[in-house]
Amino acid sequence: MNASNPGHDEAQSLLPWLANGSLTGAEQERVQAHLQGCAECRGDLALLHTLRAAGAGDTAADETSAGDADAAFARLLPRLDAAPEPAALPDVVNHVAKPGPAANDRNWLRVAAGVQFCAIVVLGLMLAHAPAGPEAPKDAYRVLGAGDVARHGLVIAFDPDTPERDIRRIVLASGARVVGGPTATGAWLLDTAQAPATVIQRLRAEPAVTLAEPLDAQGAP
Amino acid sequence: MQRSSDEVAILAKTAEGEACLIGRIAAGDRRAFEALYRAYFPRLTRFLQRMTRSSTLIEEVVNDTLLVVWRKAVTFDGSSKVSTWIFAIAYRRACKALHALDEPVESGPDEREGLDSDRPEWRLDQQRLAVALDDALAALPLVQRVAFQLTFHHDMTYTEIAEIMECPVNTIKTRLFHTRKRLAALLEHQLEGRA
Repeated sequence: MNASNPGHDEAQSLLPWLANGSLTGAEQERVQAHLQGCAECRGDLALLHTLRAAGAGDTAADETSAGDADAAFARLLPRLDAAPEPAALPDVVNHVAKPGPAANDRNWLRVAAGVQFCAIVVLGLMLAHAPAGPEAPKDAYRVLGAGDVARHGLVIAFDPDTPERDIRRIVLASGARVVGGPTATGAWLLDTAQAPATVIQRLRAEPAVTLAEPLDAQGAP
Repeated sequence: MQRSSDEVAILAKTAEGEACLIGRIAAGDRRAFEALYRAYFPRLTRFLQRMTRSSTLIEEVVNDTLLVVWRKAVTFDGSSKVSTWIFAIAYRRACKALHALDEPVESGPDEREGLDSDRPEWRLDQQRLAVALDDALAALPLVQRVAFQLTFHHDMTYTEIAEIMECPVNTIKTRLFHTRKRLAALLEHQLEGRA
């Protein structure tokens, strides 16, 4: 940079942000004024516009990303379940959150981790003592047949390639709701207040559903 | 339901809307989180592609970053833009991941080969320049590459970039000055007669 010309130095240091349109106010005015009489800075600015256009023309990455977002989001979902969900904080809904306890409070996290650990132990014990079903994949049925889950409990599994949005749609349309899962075998636990046979019929009508079974004897097909 | 999802997705299109989404995420709203995720997945992926070509690592960093957003949304105080906050998390995560892998500055062959020969000549020139720019950027130190990308591919202010990279504003200005001079030298042949 040229130490004898502060205006030129400032323009040289700010040209990238003039080129990307983020320079504002007095800085923008000073740099624009300098450009009027400086061919070197005008040439550099033109070069930056060229480089910016060359980078902006690369849309392949964006297109690829859009296609991959569903799969990546589906892979993240179980981690959301594993993570302590942000606690209900009515005062922060619809405006910028303020620092505070609740969701990411360290003590809260410890308690949540403790509760999760207890739940895992209980589920593990139930899994160990549950009888395997005759039709469903062994692992899936052992998880889902465990104990008195719900009077109208159901177990369901999807084709592994099913997008998360389809899973949501299918569950909502069936009249059931997700109460657990996915398990290690990819099964989900649902419950419903409706007749289980009807709900299962709806679920089985979906090509993406590879398994839909009642968890209770009354609802068995 | 669909209408409601659309309304949430629209929030992800403005800085104010993004701040609103963060508030909802802090309250455990998964639809808000999904909307923010879908808005940032392509942006962060593109950002990280300048740091590594490993698609597995890119997705890992993107998901780690947005998991932090899910967990820490309640701590967002609005003192910076949501995009600055999220990119700063992604930058730190990526640096940490690359350091852990001891991954060198990648400079592998560009994947965008086999351009359509029937495209207009100017478009072909632009594509060639883009490829050359990719190669030139890959030859730069990571911090210069990131500063260049945040400026020209994400149109951020120098203040935002300084915040993301956790360094003084003047460092960012100096970094960009040297970056563009270096690029001009590396791309001398491609840029002849253009600027």
